[in-house]
Amino acid sequence: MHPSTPMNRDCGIRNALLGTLICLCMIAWGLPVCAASNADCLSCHSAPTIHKTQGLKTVPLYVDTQGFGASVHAKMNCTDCHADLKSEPLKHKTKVAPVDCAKCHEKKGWNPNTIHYAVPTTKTPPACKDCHGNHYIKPKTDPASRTYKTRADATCAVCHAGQNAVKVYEHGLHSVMTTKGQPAARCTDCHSPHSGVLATSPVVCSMCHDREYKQYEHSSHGKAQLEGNADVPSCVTCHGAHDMLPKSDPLSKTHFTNEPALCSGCHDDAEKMRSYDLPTNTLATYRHSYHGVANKYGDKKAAVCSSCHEAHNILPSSDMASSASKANLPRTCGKCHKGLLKKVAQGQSHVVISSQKKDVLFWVSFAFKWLTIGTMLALIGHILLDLQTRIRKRLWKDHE
Amino acid sequence: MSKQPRTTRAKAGHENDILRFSLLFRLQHMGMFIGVIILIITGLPLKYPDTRIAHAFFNAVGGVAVSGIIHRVGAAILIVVGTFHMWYIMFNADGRRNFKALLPGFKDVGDVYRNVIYFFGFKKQGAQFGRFSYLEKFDYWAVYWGMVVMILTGLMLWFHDYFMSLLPKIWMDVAREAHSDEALLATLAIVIWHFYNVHFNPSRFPGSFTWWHGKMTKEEMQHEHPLEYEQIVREAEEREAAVRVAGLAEEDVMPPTEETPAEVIVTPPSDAVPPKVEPIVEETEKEEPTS
Repeated sequence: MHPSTPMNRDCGIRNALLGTLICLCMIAWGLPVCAASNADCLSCHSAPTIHKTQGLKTVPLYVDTQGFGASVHAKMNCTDCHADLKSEPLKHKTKVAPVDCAKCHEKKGWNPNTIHYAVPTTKTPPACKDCHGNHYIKPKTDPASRTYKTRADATCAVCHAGQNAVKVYEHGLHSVMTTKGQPAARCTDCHSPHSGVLATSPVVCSMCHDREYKQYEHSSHGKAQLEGNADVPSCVTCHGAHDMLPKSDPLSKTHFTNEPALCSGCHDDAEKMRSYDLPTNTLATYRHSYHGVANKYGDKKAAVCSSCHEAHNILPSSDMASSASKANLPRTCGKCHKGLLKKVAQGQSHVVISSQKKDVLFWVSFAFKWLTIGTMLALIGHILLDLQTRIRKRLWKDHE
Repeated sequence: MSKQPRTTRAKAGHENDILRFSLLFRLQHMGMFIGVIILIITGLPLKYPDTRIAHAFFNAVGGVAVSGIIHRVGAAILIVVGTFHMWYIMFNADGRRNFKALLPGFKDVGDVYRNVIYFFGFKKQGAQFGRFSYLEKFDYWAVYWGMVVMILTGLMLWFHDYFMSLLPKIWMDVAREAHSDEALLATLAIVIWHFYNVHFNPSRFPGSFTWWHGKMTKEEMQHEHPLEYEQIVREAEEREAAVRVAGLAEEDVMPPTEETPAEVIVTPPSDAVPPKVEPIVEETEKEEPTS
């Protein structure tokens, strides 16, 4: 059990009370008080050779006086943290209880829902000291601190190095930027170490990408996401998490060669679209268009989904504010096609030729289909008749 | 089949060969097939972009944008040929003569009927053709219609921004659909019908060089265009008679038929007519266009 659970805390208080009582008794008996000053502790622990043996391991017990003096806890007593030694004699027990940082730091946002806190008991969950250190803790603004922004990733890597996510992250945009010294998200920027916020939440991304988040917040996807709809994409659905790459990278999901597959992955999923009354032929109709063909063969200039529908502020075309609304189409198409007027909105964008919709397009297609079939039947018929006549004449002549 | 002696093929410079197609006529055909081949090669992969051959083609040329430029080169050739043809059939005597001969008539309907009857074995002889058989007329008018459709819709797609500002988007879709569908129809007509008639037909295989030198042998003419041949013979006789009567040098009254260099055909016959022999020359002049 963790020391900060309420029951244990009560025990702690009870023990403290009990300790105080014992101390008072000791004073009354005129015996030396065991609650030592820092100098008392350091009289032994400043010797560099001091250590204990735990099984086969040798654990150093040396405390660097100067180092401790420079740490954030310099003004505190040893026994403030090693509280269980308060009541011990100077030559104290060798099995010391772990330090409970939560005694002081609980108020500062330590959330029991963090992933480290919830590590299954089969593994050793990291304690505060595993990231922050113990005797020589520096503020995170100090470049010497293990939690300083340029060193924090290395601190995480102590345990997480070699994990797939970390390997992938090293090639991701955020990591590449930080190594170049540019401001970008590190492990702890998304994986908040103390609070329980999920790293995949758009809110996490919004801390830096505020402009995009504000657009997303008001988009169809964003509104549904905030209502708790699990169908809609959040930031990481499209951009990836650890593997997030710039749009210009051919491996990025948002690269123009991959974008149609990314969007249609959901939008052509009939199961997913059932409750939204949206068409599920987006990719087929796009691929039928010249845009789609040119995109397929790597033409960077050809429009992709987001060229017309936008990326973060996607809205249904029925919404007047949508880039794909009838009113906005001349401007949206006009980004590439100069000089367009309102007429461009008359007609379909994802063109479907269907017999249910008997428009001029259908009739032209219909007429050509039957013209081709009819012509070809007549021509091929003529060819076959001509051929058989020639063969017949030849055979007949040969028999003569 | 190989035992059967074939009709001798026309070769450039042979004495008995008959010039069927003038240089201008042949140049138009050459220009058109160069343009059309370019257009088919660069166009069909766009119609069937998911095929492996389209993939190989676009990767070979370097993408749709490059292929699009080549397609426009082919289109430009075809537009030049088409525009020139309009001039040719209106303002050139050879062109007018050929165009009139290409106009469909009642004889063609009868020829189709006669040939079908012949194909089914009810007659011993098929239709007898003049300058252009109904097969050739079909070719011509199919191309005529195809050129109109392809050039109009093609220009709409070429200058899409301009046309999109003029027309609702649905008309751009219609243009694209028509361009794509007519392309297939034209390709099939060329590959199946035209190639059968000029290449794969057993009496033609693997093809003749008439498209290059414009000539046919007397035997070929008698077999495939007997009525035209008769007319050429008749005209030659009339010309001889005219020469005899007027005592003129033969080249002065030579009309654009047998063994005439193509350059002479281009010039209107009236230029070659000396004012001396008005009554007789008028007669030959009149007959020419009605052939």
